Amino acid sequence: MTEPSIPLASIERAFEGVIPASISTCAPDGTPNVSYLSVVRRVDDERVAITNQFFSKTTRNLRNDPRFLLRVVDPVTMEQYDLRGKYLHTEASGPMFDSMRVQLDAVAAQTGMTGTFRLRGIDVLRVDRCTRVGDAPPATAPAASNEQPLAALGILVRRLAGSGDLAEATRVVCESLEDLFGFGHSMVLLADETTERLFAVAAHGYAEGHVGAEIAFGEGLIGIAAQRRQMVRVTALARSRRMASAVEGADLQELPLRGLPDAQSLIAAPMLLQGRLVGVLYLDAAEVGAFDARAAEVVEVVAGHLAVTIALLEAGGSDPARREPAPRPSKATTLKAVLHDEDGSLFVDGDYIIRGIPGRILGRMLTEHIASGRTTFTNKELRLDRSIGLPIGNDNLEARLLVLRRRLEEKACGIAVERVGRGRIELVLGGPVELLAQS
Amino acid sequence: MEGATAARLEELFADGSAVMVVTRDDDHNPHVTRGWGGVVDAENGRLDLCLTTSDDLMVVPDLEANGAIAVTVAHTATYRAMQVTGTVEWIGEITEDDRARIARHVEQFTAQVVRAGLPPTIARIAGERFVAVRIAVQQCFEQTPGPKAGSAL
Repeated sequence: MTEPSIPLASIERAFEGVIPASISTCAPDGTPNVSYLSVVRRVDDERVAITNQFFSKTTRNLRNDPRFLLRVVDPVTMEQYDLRGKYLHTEASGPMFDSMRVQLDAVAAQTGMTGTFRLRGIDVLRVDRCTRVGDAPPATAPAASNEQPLAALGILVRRLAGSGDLAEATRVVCESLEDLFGFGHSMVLLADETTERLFAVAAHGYAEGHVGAEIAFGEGLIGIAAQRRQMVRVTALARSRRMASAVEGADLQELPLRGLPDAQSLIAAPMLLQGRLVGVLYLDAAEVGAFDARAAEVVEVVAGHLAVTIALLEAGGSDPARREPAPRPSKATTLKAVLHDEDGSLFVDGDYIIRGIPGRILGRMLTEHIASGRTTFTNKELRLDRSIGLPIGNDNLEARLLVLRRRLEEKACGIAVERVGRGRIELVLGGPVELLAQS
Repeated sequence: MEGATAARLEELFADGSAVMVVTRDDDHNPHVTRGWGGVVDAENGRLDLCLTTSDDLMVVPDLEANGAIAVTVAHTATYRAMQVTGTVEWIGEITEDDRARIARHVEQFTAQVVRAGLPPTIARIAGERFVAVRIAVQQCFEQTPGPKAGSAL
């Protein structure tokens, strides 16, 4: 008796791209052909799609004789599956094409191979039959880290709904992704649509130095996710990198990764609200295959909720939670701050603190403090000061202040910035300060 | 088989590359399995290879019926790859020497893949039953990803 065909949805991991799949076809003269594939995507329970970057023997064979045999491997159990069926058609536009193209473009942008790895089309294949390979008993997969993602997601959303300000919302998201889902490294980047740049407002699980980092739209994996407003998910970056470097004439000009330097698995999920890009939620892991399709769904939902929360906080303002005053940073000697007009970079006692708009905000507060002794400032006056360079309209001032606050905390340089009420901030100094402006 | 091409093929086998093997029946339906322990005979244009038979029971009947075979050998670290097409001249039981070559190949392949971050259980894909074949090589093709993939060597 013939075994029933295995539903494709039940072997989702085999389509993660962790272990290369192969496709076998046959030429009209009877010569068989087998090629490795970079991407196989499950479309639904009857169809899969494969990428076609280089017109190949496989493509020619499928046009002549549509029958194929796909071999995919589950990277957890190492079970192999054979999928038999027929080539249906090729798509060179549309949502599925865009979704698959963005993955390749993101890796190409990260490895400096834009233009070489251009997706020409995706071949859509109908699967008539899926069978498990081999005669050994099926292997069992280890239990997933979170078997009830909806329940965990509910907890995360409830925690997020209780956040009083941007600092708390981003912290809650990053910490909850770790304690509820085991995703230990994450970053929240907000978008400045005027300058088409992202800037990191929160980083969790990394060494210091990530908050304040800026990325242009279209730059690397995260920048592509922002530019295309589509999720980018990579399951084995080293494999993608090796494949890119194998292409003849390849000259990889790889960009440094923004999170873990040796990340293998990455997700960059755009935070979208009514067509507006609020930012990008980024996660990475050093392990291969750390983020499966289910993880991607979770991250997409979290990114959406964070976008809404940030928008609500922006619209309604917020009262900072009552808390004990932050300990005053103490420095026995005079703090020597230097502000570079050209890029807004600010140094304290020779240490780089921050650049851009947050640097100019701090420079402005220090200038006022030195001139008048003031320590309390309002959001309104910062918005009206055109020398700071805040864009008109959606200026992300709260986010810029959060970046500044977190960088000052990280650097422990004797200067701190605290929210002290709605639209009010206080400059806290550990000692006397001098400011030198350099053009 | 041209000397440089044979040398490249030998190098790929020596490094524990991944080897996919495809045959077809008389109706041109493809059947696929994996290959291990390849030995290149450049002078006579032959490739000796052991095939996993626990993967696809149709591979051996295909070869007995028409002998058509294609073998893609891909380096798991560099993705440099080539394909050999030809006809199987002989099929037989594996010897102790074959078994030793299979074991060595599986070990090297596993080590390469583990370095890329996958678990050593990848060795499971080798299967447990094998057959030895001798292939009369007809053509070799570039199979490295890129615009030249599919061109004859």
